[in-house]
Amino acid sequence: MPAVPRIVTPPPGPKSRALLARQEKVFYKGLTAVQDPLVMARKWGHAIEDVDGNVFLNFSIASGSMPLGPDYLAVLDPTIEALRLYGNECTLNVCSEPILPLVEKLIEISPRNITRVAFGLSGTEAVEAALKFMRRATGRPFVLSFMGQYHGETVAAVGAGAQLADIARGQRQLSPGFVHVPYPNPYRTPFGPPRPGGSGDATVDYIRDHLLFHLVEPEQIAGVIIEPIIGAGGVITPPDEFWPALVELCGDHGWLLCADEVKSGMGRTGTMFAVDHWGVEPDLILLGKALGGGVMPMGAVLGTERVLGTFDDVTIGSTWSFLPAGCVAALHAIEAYQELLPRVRELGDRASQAIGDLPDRFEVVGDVRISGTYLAIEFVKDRASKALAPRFQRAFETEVVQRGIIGQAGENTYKMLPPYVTPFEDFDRGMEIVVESIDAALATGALDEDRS
Amino acid sequence: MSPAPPTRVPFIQVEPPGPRSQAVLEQLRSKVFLGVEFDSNPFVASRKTDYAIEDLDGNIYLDMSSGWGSTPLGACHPEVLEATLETLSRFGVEDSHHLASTPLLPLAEKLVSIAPEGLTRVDIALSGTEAVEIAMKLMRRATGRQLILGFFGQYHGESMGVAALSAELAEFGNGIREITPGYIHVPFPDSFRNPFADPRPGGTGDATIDYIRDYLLFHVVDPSDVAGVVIEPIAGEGGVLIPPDGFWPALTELCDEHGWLLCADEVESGFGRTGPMFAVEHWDVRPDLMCLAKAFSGGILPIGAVLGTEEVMGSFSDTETGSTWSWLPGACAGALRGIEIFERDAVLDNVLRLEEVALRMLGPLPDKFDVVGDVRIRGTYIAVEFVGDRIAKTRVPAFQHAVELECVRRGLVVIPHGAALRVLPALTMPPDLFAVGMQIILDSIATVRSAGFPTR
Repeated sequence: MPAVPRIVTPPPGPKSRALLARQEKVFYKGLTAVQDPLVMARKWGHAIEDVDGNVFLNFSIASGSMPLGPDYLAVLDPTIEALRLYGNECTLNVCSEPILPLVEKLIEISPRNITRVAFGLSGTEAVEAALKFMRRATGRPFVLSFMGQYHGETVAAVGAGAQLADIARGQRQLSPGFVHVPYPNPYRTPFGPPRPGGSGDATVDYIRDHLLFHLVEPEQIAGVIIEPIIGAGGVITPPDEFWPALVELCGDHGWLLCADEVKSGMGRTGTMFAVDHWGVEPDLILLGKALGGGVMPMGAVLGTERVLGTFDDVTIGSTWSFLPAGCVAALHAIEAYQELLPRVRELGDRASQAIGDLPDRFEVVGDVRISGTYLAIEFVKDRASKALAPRFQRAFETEVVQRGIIGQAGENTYKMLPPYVTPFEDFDRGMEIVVESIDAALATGALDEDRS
Repeated sequence: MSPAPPTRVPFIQVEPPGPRSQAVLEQLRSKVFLGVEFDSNPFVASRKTDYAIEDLDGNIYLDMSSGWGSTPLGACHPEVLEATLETLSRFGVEDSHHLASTPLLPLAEKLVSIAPEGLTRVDIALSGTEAVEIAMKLMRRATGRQLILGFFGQYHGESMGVAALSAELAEFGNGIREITPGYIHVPFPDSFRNPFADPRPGGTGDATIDYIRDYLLFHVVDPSDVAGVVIEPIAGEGGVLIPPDGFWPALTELCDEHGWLLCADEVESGFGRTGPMFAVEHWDVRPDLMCLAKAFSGGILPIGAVLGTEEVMGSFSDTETGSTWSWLPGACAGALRGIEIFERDAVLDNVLRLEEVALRMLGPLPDKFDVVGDVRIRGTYIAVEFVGDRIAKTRVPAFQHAVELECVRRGLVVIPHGAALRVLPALTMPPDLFAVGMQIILDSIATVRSAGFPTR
């Protein structure tokens, strides 16, 4: 295998350009407009090779769904065997042998209160199912969610989400039943410190003192959907004091606590679930992405007896929820993640050492957030205003791709999701490339445009 | 390599559930959501080959559910499988919204080449549910209008948007209808159960369209608030409902008059299920959007698609659609190989052979059994609707379920829990084997009827 990374021609190379031009003729314009400037020929481990022979560090890993690479044989081989045995199947109609072992494994690794599993094809589907369960279990219409969170693109998932206002354009009015409050974001919060005699957390104080007093009665709220560490919105970790205050709030009003761990779960943050950092026991946990082991689409809802064991009259899922081969992939992937958790933490430590101090070294870096192999860099025009620097970020994204990293561009942060199997040497080189790319982007003058 | 397929299909050696299946199902029932009951097919599959499902107890079933219509070439078609596995090993999964890979373009170009005229662009989806959610977003964005017209009896999926669009059974709308504005529903142009009188003189020539024009648009909704119509050209879950020929020109004219977009949900009816590649071809209808999934996959990995005109897919780019796994590289390779096999092996010709067998064996059922109200067959889209009373057309779901269970006991897996007894066999099934399944349906109806099962 060639070295990783290895740039032989500036991307997009001529072959990628030719294919991308043809794609523009046959695909929806909104698809080709957002794709990265290359066409992949193959992937392995932590690498992507494009049709022009460029090799990139794969720090986007299918938007977080491939932590082991595509060729982790302990997952790939049994999955292929299962595909040969079953092809696809409608598991809601015909049950098959691989279902039970996965269900048992999921319950085994979950917080103690989780006793049941519901099937999904993807994280989006898990979110849609969870919202139905929450409303049905409580008989209440509203779900409380947080600004900055992303839950998917179907109607209810868009309604629950509030990452960026434009994602909901034309959709917000079609999905009533959600209330959104600011996420407990240590870097950007509209709130002052928690008030004396309050909950101990400013966000929960706001919910109790303002939202529930003026706007919505707590008896109208089914529960809370939260990303325990925000993913797409920029790797945001709530302060420790937020969790007991939130759990107490839920307890006071009979609210269900639903953790969307589609992106943060399965070891990404150094623990199997992000809620494990605080010992929180949600009523529902949603999984997708890495659950499929990087080879199959899979989603799941984990829940308590109250939510999944007391009624049967809610319909969820779709034809391909819990495909037999998907269950095989997930079972073996979970075993791999359990073994690799120390490695995830080690990669996080190396990242902290290499780029944790970027805010001290560059005025343009407002914040660096690292949780295991969940990495985000937030660029700002200046330290005081914290105003975003979009032109600079785009210049940085261009530089970093030219140097051989495929990460995740975003509106407010640049994110990297390195595979758990990344060799340390290549990982460290990746962190150097990040620093070099900031220098190179500063030389373009893009930041001056942001500031003018 | 898997062992050779079983030679005797079906072959029941122990009444399902056998002891091994029973043990697993009992375990599962205590560990999964209570709504998953495993009651229609009380067994646990251990492998699938061609047209057979083998269970843990050694029973062999003839598979006429085919992954709910998603394995059109039989289970694990070897060529689709190899194309899929080769690509899967090369790419794993990918977020194709973010990164293009080589398998995407050939599939998109192929799809556009076989699509009805005017459908020149593709948006990518993971499933049929996702495809219909995408189509509705694009319809609303393209027109700037919010309301979408759906039909009673249609099923589009379970996520909130498609659940609201669906109106198969009222109970599915519990807890959903009140939080999903933006939809209006009218009766499907159903030849067996229709609330309308004949088309009125001087009207559109179709009673459903007359109702929409004369009542709905006169009293309830201004047509300039409607983005368009989503219709299953033949309604599947609703019981293979086939609109009359006069419906289509009347619908098309209505859409044209008000700038409505016509979206065909061909997730189940597409890819040869009803005879031609797409069900709209029966009437030469040219939709603005078409949703695909299920059989489009070729049978191995999940994939869906929305096809669209330049107007809905080539004129704006600011609507986000899909999810991480829309158009997995491995699924694209499998779907493309599947389409190639459709063409090379003239799969659609076999659909017509199976249709002949179904018409011959099931067609006379209403004359043979008082409990059979109607038989509807188009290609391999097949439904038998039971009634407690011929005149009143009383629905008898308990009788139907008893027939479904009798089929399973005799080794035939059908599509359970619909408005009618349905099968969705693989399109390549040999006609002789298909006839075996049809005979099991006949025998099962006779058994349940003669057991004096109450029909009212």
